[in-house]
Amino acid sequence: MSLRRLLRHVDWLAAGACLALICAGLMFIMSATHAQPVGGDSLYYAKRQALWAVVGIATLIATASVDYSLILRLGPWVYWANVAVLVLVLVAGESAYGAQRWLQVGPVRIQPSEFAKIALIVSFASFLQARSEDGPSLRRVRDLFPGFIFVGIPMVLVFQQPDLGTSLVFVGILIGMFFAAGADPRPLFGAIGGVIAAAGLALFAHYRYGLPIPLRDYQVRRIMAFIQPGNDLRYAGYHTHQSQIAIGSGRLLGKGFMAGSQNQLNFLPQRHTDFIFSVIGEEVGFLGAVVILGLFLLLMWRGVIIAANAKDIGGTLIAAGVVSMLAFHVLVNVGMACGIMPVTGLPLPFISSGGSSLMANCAAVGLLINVGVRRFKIYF
Amino acid sequence: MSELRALIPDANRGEIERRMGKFLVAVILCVGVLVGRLGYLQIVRGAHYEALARGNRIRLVSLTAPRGVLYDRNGALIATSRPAFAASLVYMGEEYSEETLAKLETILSLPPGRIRQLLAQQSGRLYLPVRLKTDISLEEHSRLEEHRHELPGLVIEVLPIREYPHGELAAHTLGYVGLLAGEDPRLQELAAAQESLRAAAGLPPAIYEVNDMIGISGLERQYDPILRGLDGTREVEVDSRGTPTRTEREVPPDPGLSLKLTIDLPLQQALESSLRANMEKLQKSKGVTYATAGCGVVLDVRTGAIRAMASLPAFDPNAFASGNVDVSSVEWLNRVTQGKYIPGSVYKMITAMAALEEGVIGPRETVYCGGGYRLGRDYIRCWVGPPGHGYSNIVQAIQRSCNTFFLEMGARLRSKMRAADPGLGGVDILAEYAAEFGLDSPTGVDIPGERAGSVSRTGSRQLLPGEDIQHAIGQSTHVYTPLQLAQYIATLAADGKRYRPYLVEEVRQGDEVLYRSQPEQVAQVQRVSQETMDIVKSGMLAVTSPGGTGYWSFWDIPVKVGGKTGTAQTGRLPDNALFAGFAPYDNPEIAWIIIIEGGDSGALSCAPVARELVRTYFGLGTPGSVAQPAGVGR
Repeated sequence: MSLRRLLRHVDWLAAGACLALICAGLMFIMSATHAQPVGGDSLYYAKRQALWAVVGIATLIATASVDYSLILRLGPWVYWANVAVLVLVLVAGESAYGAQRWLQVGPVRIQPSEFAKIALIVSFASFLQARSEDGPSLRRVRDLFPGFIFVGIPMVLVFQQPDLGTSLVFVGILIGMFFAAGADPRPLFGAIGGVIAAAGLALFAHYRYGLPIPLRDYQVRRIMAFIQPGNDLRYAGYHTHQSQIAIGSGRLLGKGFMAGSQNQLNFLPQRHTDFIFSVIGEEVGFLGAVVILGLFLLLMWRGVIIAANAKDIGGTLIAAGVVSMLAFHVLVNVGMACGIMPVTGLPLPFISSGGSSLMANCAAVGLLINVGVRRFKIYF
Repeated sequence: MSELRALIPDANRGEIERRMGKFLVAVILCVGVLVGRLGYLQIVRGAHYEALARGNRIRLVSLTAPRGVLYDRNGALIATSRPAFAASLVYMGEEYSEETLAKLETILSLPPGRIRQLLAQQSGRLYLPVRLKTDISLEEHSRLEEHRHELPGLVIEVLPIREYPHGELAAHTLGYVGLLAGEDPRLQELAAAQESLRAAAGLPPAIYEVNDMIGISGLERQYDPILRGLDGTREVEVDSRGTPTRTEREVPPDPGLSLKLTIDLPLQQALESSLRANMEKLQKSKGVTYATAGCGVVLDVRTGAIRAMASLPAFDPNAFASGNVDVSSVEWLNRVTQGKYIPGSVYKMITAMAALEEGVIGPRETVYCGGGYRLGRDYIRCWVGPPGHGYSNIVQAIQRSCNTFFLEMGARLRSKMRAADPGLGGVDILAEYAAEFGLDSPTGVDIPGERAGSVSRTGSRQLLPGEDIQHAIGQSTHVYTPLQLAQYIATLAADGKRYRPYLVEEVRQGDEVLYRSQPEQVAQVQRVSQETMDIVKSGMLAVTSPGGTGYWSFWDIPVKVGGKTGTAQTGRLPDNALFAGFAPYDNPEIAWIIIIEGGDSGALSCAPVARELVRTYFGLGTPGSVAQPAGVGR
């Protein structure tokens, strides 16, 4: 297809929503951090994020350009490269504050688990596509097990870092893509719910009645550190409480940009990263927050449309995976800021400060547009 | 969607569209739940939260976890915690007046502007009280109470602080704790490094924050992640004066784990007091250039456990425990692990073993000493002076520390090496033997900042003429840490088994032992036969026997001791004095090295310290003085 034709078929609504979210992110990062200058520069975080935004948009264009069929053919390679990088992180990663999540690449420190989500979407799509060619056979629980193992390997590696939040995103992606591939929802949710319930019950029984479980003491402590939410055991409850005060006090119209008292007086923790939605809620109120959620909804709605209209099952799966990932992030992150989800440390896509996350999400939207552009079976 | 439907000629199209429809419903539901929750928080309960935000009166009070206790090998207390008062300021939602701050600074005798600085440091965490001064005196406490009505936001907290009941004892080994200052990048780095250690040990993350106490040196630093515990927190509501009125919730602190050290308290005390006494005596009788510093370390020959380790002059770690003294820029040298010393005659056992194994001398062969040795154009006097030691075999040469004999060995080793390869020298063969006894590598002791000396080789740099022969008597340019030297003696005493020295025997939680150290043998000497080691050790026994350089410190000791005196020429007078040894001779348990800088004579300055070590370790009655007739050799 010619470039002109390609450009005409780009889903501009999705691209626009993505760009608007990135701009909103820059604004609120500035609002959240300008009172704490780094090295005398009160725009340090905002400038850094702007730089990442440029890199992110370039990534988006790059991922949209290569025909996704080619990417799908590379699925197994992507999968094993992903597993290798995650192993590398465990072996040679930079650790900080109790977790080993980063790799130093030249001057920048990247967080491979962010990119692992994209790699998983692509490789799992390729995996399910290959299986669907033998006819749909995802009706029974035991048909799902190869997929569980496929997603389970990278998921356990991420969990080991430890990064519970991202490993749960993997579950979200798994459910969404299985469903899109035609799995019967009942055994699907049954199996996953059963595993989660059994694990929770075992942990509860271990604590309450001393039930022996096949985990070392420190592993249990680590899991409990997640369940008693946040990395920051001491202040977790405080954080959610302060975040709710911030959001609630924003009321309908908010206190005005860069004028939130909870935000500006430093009562809000991690407010340019995981808790940035509290800044939004406080400063632009219910209406502003709904606009932000509306932009997410717009992006995800376009994603679903693209999934429905894709020329092949592979395209549908990629788009469904991207939408699942975004939906999971938004639900957990905003839910955490509002006090209806546990604190698991997931960033708000496009908005939270952080280069790896922004780049990965841009790549995801790039894939979405990629599938949308190439939706026609017939080549002109 | 309808116009697109036509473009998908797939049979599955309908099915996929149905599924995607459900998918969209799920996504809309997710967003809907969030919008609903936002509506509840911001519209239904908005007024309530707005009131809360306006009078945000909830503060966190940190409940400091007591640091883990340090015990000696027999359970005697070496470091613990005591309760202290700290003055802190709670943020009241508005700027403090200069007047209030000035008053606080006067009462607490802080420099003007200090409180502003502290507030600025903690600007990111104003929901925590800003700690102004820890361990305030009773007088400061009562003056604060007196002026309380003028000081809104002031709270007095009770928290545990580190206490070392024995003061300066083992100060360099234990180290000290200090304040984790917000602006100090070195400490931030330390905190990050320790965080990952803690994670590796499977402990939940320890949270390092401004105002936290942190181990800065010695064991306090090495084991900080284990010792520090996990602070608790109390969420309180404060009234308009900052006084807590109600506790919302509380997470109690989790105390740090305790360590049982390998240190033997009585032995450590004997080492330090006797080292100190001998240094003072030297300074008094000979002048202030003598005995400026000293150190010693005692190893368990069978395991590598460090039974005593002292470095003088020392400091009192209690002085820093409150965190009110700025210690971030201070660096104290632990001479045992960080000082580098010329070994002097203590090195002669290496030369002896090399000479025997290389076959340049037989076990009974003698060498004549006429009081000196001609080396090129120089004439090196043997320390005894004319008429010299006469004929000595290798055992007698160690006993008398005969320089002539060992210089001759150096010359013979050089000839042998040059015959094989003209580019090499005697040092190269000595280096191989010294390395086998650990003198070429750090010991790996579990204390931060260990340095290590290394052996010289011809390839490494241009050697001075005669330097490689001087090496044979332990002089000239090679230097080692006292811990390396002690490890070398211990390895010899253990018939070639080299152990990694260590300081922590057990990690405990209350009475429960969580971890117990296992002795770690790092090497086994290969080049030296048992027979050779026995000959050399018998030379060391002869040192403490009649006619030996160390006899006068051990003549009345019923335990058989192997020893070696040493005097190292540093180029500055007086010389450094050394005494190395092990005991009991037949079944060695401990090995040691004692060094006094400017101690002049190993036999006179350091051997008496070793005598006290042996008396204490083997329970030989109360410490007594030792006859020291004039004219005893070095």
